[in-house]
Amino acid sequence: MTKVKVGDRLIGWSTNEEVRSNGGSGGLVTAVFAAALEKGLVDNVVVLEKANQFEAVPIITDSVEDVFNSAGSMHMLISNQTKYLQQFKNEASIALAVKPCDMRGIREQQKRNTIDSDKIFTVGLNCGGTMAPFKIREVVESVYEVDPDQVKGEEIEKGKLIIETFDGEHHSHSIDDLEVDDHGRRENCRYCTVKIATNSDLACGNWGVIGELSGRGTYVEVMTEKGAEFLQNAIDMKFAEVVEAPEKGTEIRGKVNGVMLKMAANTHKEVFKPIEGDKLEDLRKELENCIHCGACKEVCPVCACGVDAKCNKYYDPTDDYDISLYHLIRFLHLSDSCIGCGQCTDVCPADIPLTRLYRRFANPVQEELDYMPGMDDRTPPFFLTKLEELE
Amino acid sequence: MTKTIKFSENVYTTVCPGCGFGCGVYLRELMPEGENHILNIDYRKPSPVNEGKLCRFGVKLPEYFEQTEYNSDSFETGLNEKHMEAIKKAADALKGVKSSEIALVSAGNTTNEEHMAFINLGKTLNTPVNTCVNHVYKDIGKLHVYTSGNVSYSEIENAKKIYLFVNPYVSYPLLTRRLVHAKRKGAEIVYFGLKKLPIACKNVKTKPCESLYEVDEFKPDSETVIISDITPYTNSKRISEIVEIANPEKTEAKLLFMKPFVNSTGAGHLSRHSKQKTIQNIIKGIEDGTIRVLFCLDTDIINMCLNPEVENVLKKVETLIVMSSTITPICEIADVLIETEPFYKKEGTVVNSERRIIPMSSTLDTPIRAGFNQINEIIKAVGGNAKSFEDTKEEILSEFGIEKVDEFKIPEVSIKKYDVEKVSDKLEVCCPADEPDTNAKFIYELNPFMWHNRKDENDYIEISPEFISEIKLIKGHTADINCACKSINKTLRYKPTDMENGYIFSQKKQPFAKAPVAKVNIKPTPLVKKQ
Amino acid sequence: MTAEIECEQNKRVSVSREGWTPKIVMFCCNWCSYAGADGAGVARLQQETNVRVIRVMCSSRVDAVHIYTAFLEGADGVLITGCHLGDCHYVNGNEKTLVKYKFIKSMLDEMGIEDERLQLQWISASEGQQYAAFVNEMTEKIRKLGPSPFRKPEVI
Repeated sequence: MTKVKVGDRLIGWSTNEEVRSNGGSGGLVTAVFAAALEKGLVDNVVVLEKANQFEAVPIITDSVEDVFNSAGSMHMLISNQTKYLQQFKNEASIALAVKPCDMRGIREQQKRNTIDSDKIFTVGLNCGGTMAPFKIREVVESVYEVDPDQVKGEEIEKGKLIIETFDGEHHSHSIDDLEVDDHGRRENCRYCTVKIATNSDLACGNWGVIGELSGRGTYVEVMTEKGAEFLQNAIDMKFAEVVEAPEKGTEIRGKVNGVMLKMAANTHKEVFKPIEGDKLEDLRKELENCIHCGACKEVCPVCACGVDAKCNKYYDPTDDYDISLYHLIRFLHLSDSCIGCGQCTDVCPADIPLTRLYRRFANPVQEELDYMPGMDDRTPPFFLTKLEELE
Repeated sequence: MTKTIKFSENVYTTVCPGCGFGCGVYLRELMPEGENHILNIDYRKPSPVNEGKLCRFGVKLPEYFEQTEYNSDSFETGLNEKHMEAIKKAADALKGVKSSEIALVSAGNTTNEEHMAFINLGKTLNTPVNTCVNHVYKDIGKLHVYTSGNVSYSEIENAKKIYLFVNPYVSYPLLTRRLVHAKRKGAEIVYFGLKKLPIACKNVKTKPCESLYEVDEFKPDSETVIISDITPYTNSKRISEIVEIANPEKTEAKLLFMKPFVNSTGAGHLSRHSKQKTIQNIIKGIEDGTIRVLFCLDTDIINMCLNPEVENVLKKVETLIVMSSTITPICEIADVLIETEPFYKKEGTVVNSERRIIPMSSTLDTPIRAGFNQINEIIKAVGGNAKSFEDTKEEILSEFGIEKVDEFKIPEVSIKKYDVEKVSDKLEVCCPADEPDTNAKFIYELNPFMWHNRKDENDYIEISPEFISEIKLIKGHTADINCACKSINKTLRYKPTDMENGYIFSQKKQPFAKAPVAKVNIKPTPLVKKQ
Repeated sequence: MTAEIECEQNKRVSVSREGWTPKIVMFCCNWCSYAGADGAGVARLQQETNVRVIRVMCSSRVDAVHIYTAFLEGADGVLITGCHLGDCHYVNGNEKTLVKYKFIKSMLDEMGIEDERLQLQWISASEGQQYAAFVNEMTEKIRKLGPSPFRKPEVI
């Protein structure tokens, strides 16, 4: 077979049979990481250390064995890979798997010079949405009527959330039904418009894997030179095998994406319907319980200001403003760069729907300028001297 | 590719030590080869208590630990000579006095395991472990059943009526979201206090010393959840009145008492049968010489007391033994200082205010148990029987009547009545009697930053807009506040807040107020003319 | 019990129009508009007196913090003026103002703040006439709009 190059659409799997069947979709990602580590293309790989089916933490490793042992994905793991990478201050070379929104955050940080793209290698995973881990646990108990400790794994397939228990049984419910009672994906995932991580080095997923390879292969689109290099390395080292993706598979992948995007557009309309009445009062009401913990800024994957940020420095706890300067400054600064990842809502101790509020200000500007942060290398419009420079 | 450093990483699944709420959190310890470790927060979203969310204090945990921990690498290899020397000194001091002359204090800033070992030490020495929190009010035996948590946080969300006696925004911030959910589901939230809280549907003006029998709006019924707290400064009369009027056996009203320290509830439960002393009694004992050895386990009495004079009293005790995981003011005056590993590195369990038993673990291959081992060493040195970590764990499980730790289930515990000394039920006021020269009452709003003596942007007071105009404060300028006896004066910034006139709130310990409620005099800072 | 309990006490109190006069904060660039304002004064052109002028070295110095603080502290309108495009003393400061202005404008619009409350105008040093006309026009417009929704009753 010819060498892997940018633009290739392939279906691949791990040559290690155990990894291939455990991984759920062929274990290609595991194989690529393991090969890269073995060859020395990277020094570290981020793996998930599982505490139980509902809890796992990302942790770095330099052992190929750990990489092989960590196969498997989780829909309720909402780690913040951008912030995770920033801890290393560009002093380590790291390979990691990311969701599209993680990658958007990483790209925005690259623009702001806090993450060095030479030091990282990313495999983007298709993402139809994530679920809050605690909520999933509740749903398993109340809707699925399954003991959470008996859960072996979960999978999203054809619009259904399937819970597999240790006794081998599958319990499934339609995600739409779950979402009516807010038991499904996080709100921002429901209107997210990037389901395939085309901004990463390799865009991987199981959409478009058909026929006998179904469940035993991963569809991969090579996005960058680096992606081609790493995939070729895995093939050369006999860690992975690939075949050309059949056209039908590519078509199906596109279709799945299309359906998801359509659903997202509908949710978007619903969530962002124009506010009737006093908009300012509405905003003030949403923010009235804010305790100014600053967590929303801490976790924000596009914020690169650090502790001396304007939003912190100009916020004075003795002010008695209706809406604090902290929020006003952040709303403005994120209006061109908010990627809608939902991290801020996740960590808000007063349960303020922050992502919705940030998007409320970001939507009109980003739409008008036709600018999608984190998807390419364009300078954030707010930093431009002239808006016409945004090509 | 440019030069890279080798990193290794540990993740600690732990609990925020800020207050008794019990927020789950991961602390990520990043160790670049040959350099100091870097601490970072990771939000523990699967936690049943807080779903990963943290307050101001929690978000700043890495800073808190980095500034207060002892060189934590030294604990990974076990106890060293320095530790053993301190242990020997401590044991000698304990052996040299009568058991009635010893006071053991542990307010619940450490794990159940360490507290249990400490109780074991107490048994060896024949003296109780004082928790200083659970027994500030009279007739504890009758009340304890109601004050050690019988409502879970998720039950708050389903309540029809919620009576608040604490300001959730400041004192226990993670309560806020539970209240937000309850309000969304149609709960009526009534706040009994002096501020106007946005979360409350109704604010009932209730002075700190006011009897609840005189507050008409306080009418708990079977659908009411009452949320209050118990701290070393709690007005004991208020607590008894809440329980008496609510009378849970008759009305089925539910009571939730928040606690200030991470394991207050656990420590209180494990020490429930012991005849304890109050913090005031201990201080009195030191002053008159009846207490000669004071042993504090992760309890800084200086931080805990509003009156800075306490430091001088503590200096009078013959031997002050301090075992601490953090560098705090009391460590400086300790005669014997036993350093232990920081809280996040500890293995074990804590019990939060809703009585949920939360395990703490890490990705380390061998857990660090320095603190636990040190207490055991002391027990051995004073001639007692030290129990292994596993046995202690078993003992704790049986104390709570459970077989294994499951943080998703709150264990039912039946609590028997027990005795403590009676204390005065009057609220301590800094300067007694009516001082003619005071024009305001100063009240502390307790919060994690205050308990842990941490800096925050909170060196200001809150005061109502009407009161600001009444005393003619100028916008953007400061106010001068004197204590009633005029000996201390401090200039402070102020924030206009929707609240009762004639009161001043502060979230930070102030030198002019040495009691939970103090009479003060406030006036505008004189403007100095430019030369 | 209804899902939404009316909590009267937690509503924003708006300022009544009675006895109210608009308060407008105006930022003038040192090189053009401030000189323009001077020119208007020297020429004794009739102007409304509701405007408080703040001189800045360049219109691009006006940060969102200044604008929001002005509103939060009770300003009913904020006007920014600078040199005409291409005439900036610092080559392209006013171009940057334009970028910032667009974002702030969009945000104020999302918050329901009327368009007239924040305005940007290029006024050169010789345009005293235009300066006076701009001030008068904007004051009149804001007077018609009434007090700013950000303004609190205790702010006089």
